[in-house]
Amino acid sequence: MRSASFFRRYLILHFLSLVLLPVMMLLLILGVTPSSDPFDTETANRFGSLSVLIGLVMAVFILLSGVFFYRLRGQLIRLQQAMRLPEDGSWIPEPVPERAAGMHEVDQLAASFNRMIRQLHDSRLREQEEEELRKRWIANLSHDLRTPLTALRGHASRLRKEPLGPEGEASLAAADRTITQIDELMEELLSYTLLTSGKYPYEPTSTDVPSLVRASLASWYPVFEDAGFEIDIEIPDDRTLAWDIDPGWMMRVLDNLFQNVLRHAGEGRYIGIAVDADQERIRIKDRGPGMDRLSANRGAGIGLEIAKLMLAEMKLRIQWDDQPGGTTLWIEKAPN
Amino acid sequence: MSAKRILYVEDNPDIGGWVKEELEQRGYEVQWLLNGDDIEAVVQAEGCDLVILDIMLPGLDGFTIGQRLKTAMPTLPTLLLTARTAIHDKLQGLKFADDYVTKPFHAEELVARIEVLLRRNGARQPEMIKLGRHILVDLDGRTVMNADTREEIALTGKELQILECFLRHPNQILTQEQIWEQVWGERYIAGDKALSVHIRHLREKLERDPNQPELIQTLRGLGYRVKV
Repeated sequence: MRSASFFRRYLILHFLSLVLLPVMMLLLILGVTPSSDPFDTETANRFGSLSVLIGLVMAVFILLSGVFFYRLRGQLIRLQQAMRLPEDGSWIPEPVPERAAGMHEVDQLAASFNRMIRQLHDSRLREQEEEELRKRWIANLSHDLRTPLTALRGHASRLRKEPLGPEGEASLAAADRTITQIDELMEELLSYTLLTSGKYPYEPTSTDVPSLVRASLASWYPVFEDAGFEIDIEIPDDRTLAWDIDPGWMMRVLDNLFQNVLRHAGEGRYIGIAVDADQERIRIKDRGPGMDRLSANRGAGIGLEIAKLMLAEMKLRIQWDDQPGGTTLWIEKAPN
Repeated sequence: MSAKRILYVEDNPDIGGWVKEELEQRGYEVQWLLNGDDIEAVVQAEGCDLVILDIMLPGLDGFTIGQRLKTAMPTLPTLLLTARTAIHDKLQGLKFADDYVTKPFHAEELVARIEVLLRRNGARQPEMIKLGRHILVDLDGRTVMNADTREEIALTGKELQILECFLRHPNQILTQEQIWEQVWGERYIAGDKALSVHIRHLREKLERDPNQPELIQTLRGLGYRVKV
C-alpha cells in the first residue's frame, strides 16, 4: 500500500524552505558582493539582504501553511458532508467516496470509516433477515396452532353431547372459553406482526367519522346489551367530520377498544361513546379500573398496542384520563 | 326433499371427522376428501350442493382448487374453512369463495353459514314473517297484513322497501346511513329527515301504539332495530 503522509509532506516542505532558502540567499549575497567594498555599503547590503531573506522565509512559510490548511479543510469538509446521515431516514450513512490517488491520513480515515459503514450495513442486513424470519415464523405459528385448537374444539363439542355432571359442564364451558381466548390472542399477535412489518394493507380515504362510529357500534350494541351495560351514545346525526383514514383500520381500532372495555371494565357496566364534531374527536368512557391497570394486565396490552400503532399510521392518537370512577379516552388528530 | 350434498376437503383427521359428524347429524350428506386434487371429477360424477375447502392442503392448495372449481362451476357455492386469518388471505379467498370461516370455529356457526349459502342459492321457500303479535309480512307477495283484523295494510313503495330492509337483517341494528344506502341506493346526507318521516308513517300503520313502538325500535344516536 502506498502510504504518503500529508503532515510529513508539509513538514519536509517547511524544513526545506527554512534551510535551503537562507543557504541559497547567503551564497547569493556572498558570491555577488566583493569583500573589498567599502564597509558601510557592505553592512547596508548585508542588512538589506538579511531582511529580504527573513521576509522571503516568512512569506513562503505563510503560503505553505495557507495551502496546507486550505487543502486539509477542503478534505475534512468533504468527509463531513459524506458522513452526514442520509435524508431517507436511515441511520447508517453512505460510504465516503475514496480517492484513487494518495493514502494520507484523511484518506485512511475515510477508508476506516467506510469499513465501519460496511460492517454496520452487513449487521443491519442480518438483523433484518432475522426479523423477517421471526415475523414469518410467528405468522406460520399462528396458523399452525389454529389447526390443533380446532381439533380441540371438536373434541369438546363431542364431549358436550355426553352425559356430564354440573362440574363437567362448567369445566367444558371453561375449556371452550379458553380456546376462544387463545384464538383471540393469536389473532392479535398475528395482526401486530403484520402491522409492524408493513404487511397490513392500508388504504386511506376521506371517511365520515360519525357514520363509521355508528356502524361499529351497531354491531357492538347487542354485545354490550347482553353484558348488561348501560350504553350512552352521543353521535350527532346532523354533523359531519371527515378524516383521511382507512375505515377498515378505524373499525379495527374501535373493535379493540370496545373489546377492552368489555373485558376489563365489565364491572362498571357502563360505556359512553361520543363524537365531538367541534373538537374533532371520538370519546369513549367507562367505569372500569383504568387503563394503567389494563396495560399491566396479563398480555391484554397487545390489543391496545395495535390500536396505538394503527392510529399513529393514520396521524391520530389516543389520550386517556384515569379517574377513580372510570376512564375517559379520546381519539384525536396527532399534533404535527 | 332429498338431503343436501356437501363435499368437504380437509386433511386433518380430527377436524374432518368432527365436522362430517356434526353436518350429518343435521341431515346433510357429507363426502369428506383428504385432498382436493381430483375434486372436479368427484363433483361432476356425483354432484353436490356446496363445497367446503381447507386452504393448507397436501398437494394443491385450497385457493387453487377453489378457483378452478369456480371457473368450471360458477354457481356452486364454496365456503373456505381455514386457519389463515390475515386480511390479505381473506381478500384473496373471497375473490372466488362465497364465504370464509376461520378456525377455530363453532359447529353452530359453520352450519348457520352453510344454511345461508344454500338458501341464497336454492329456490326460496315462500316466507310469512310474523312481526310482533299482529303483523304478517309476505315478502314474496309484497303484502303486509294485520293478523287480528285480517285486513291488508297498504304501504307505499318506500315504506315497503324499508320494511324489507329490516327483515333482511332481523334483530340487527341498522344505522340511518345503512338503511339509506340500501333503500335509496345513494349516500346519506347528514341531517336528512326523510327517513325518520318514513319510519313515523310505518309506525302509524303497523304499531298498535305508534307513540310507544314495539316493532321498530329506535336506538337513540345509533339507528333502528326490528326484532323478529
